[in-house]
Amino acid sequence: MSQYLFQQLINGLALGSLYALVAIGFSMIYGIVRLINFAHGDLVMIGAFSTLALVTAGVPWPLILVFVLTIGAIAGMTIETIVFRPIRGASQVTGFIATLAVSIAIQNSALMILSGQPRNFLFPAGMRQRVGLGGVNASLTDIVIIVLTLALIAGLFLIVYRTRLGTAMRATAENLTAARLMGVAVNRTILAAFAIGSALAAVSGLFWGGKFGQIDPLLGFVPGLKAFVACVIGGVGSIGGAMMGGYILGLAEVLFVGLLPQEFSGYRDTFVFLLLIVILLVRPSGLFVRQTEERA
Amino acid sequence: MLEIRDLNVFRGATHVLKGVSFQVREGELAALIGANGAGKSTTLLTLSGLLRPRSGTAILRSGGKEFDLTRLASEKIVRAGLIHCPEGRQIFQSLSVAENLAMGAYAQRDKVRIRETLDEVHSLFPILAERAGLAAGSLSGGEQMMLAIGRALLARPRMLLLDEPSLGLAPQVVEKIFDVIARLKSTGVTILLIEQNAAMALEVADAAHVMENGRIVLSGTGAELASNDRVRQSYLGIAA
Repeated sequence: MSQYLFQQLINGLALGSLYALVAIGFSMIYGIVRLINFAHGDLVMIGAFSTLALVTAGVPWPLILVFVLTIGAIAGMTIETIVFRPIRGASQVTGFIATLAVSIAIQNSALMILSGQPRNFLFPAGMRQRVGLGGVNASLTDIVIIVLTLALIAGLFLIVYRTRLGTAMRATAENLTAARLMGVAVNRTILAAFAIGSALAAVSGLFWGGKFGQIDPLLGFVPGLKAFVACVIGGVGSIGGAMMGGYILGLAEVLFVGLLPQEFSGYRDTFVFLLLIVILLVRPSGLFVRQTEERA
Repeated sequence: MLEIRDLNVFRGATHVLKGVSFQVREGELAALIGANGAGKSTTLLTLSGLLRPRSGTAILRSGGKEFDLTRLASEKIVRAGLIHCPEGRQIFQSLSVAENLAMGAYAQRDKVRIRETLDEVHSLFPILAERAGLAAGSLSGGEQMMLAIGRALLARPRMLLLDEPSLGLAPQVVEKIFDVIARLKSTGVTILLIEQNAAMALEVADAAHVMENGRIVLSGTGAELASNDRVRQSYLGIAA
């Protein structure tokens, strides 16, 4: 494999990891409460700025990862408790508008507190070097992002498919009434879905800063939107689909930029959203969900 | 075991239960019969905490304690020993058969007893052991009903609410289900059964209550109601 192709592959997988982490939580939340949560991307921003604050405070990196997961979980649970729980059972439009309101509130609070000035954000020098792999080389940051993301996703799958909480989450997502009749305290299960999904989004923010080197209070908007696209690609409500959707999106973006003439590279998001439209036309329930299965 | 007093329940603007009162004694199999829309399922949903009454009480006496079901959260009602096996089976289609049964035992903590109960359910319905790893949605209607009942049994009910367990099933399966209901009763489980098949329900029931337009209009033993002219005409399809 040529060095160029290999680099693009690693780059696409790293970008896909960022999208996948956000998309999975987006999908989990939709699956369990049928809420298209447009505030979900802002957890990425919260994760990124939390990382910056922790780095400034001199906290060691492995601990930062744990703290960012925790901060994300707490932020997600707070939003669920004070905004989404009171409107449970209201129409989907109400929920949708509430998520937009939360997003605008978070973004503008961040602008007020942090100012709109972008901040530089650097991983430690040791992580920014390139490593050789049999004749080709890649950015260590990208490799760390990919490996940690896959580990987190593996952990998530263990929780969702191998634990009592995970079984209850899947049961609640499928049939909330029946889950209540089994003695599931559904509010707690929903809270757990928000906690897990938001923790993953916050870690994506940590990676986002490390990969792009700059963060600002509005950085959550794009990953939130891309997570939505990734979910549509994979089938909204399916965790595996969201993950695959994230990676497909990341690789497709890098491919667009890499293969198209230079003057088109500024339009990568145009191609991403064209992809969304095509998939909505051709396979509206996603690539990884059987067409007969009811998801929406 | 269960004492329902003057229950008034609204669904939206509709007054569905209009002062429902009746009792179910410990160890009894009680049947609730009536036409569609009479309020039978609404009664069960209120007892399991999914609907809240405008007024009235429902007291469950279980394990030496008293619970007011109209105030208790549904997950606490399950832990008090009242298990509701809902209309239309409502199994988790995307979960495996084994996972559905595990969800039944969700509120149980004692792993040894869960294992024992699972063995009992498997011996009642061997098909559930054979199909343990399959998605529940791939089962036939009769198997899904067995799964729904098996799942309810894993919750170790002291009192079981059964909503239309025979609906849409082949006669052999219905017979099997009623067999299991009789066995459950013999182990001391109190049962409140809603049944479209009134003849079958009255045959097995110790007590029965007839519901019309959100009110209990007639109560008696199964045999009494089976010989009541009004019941025979309206629900058993026998000319007086």
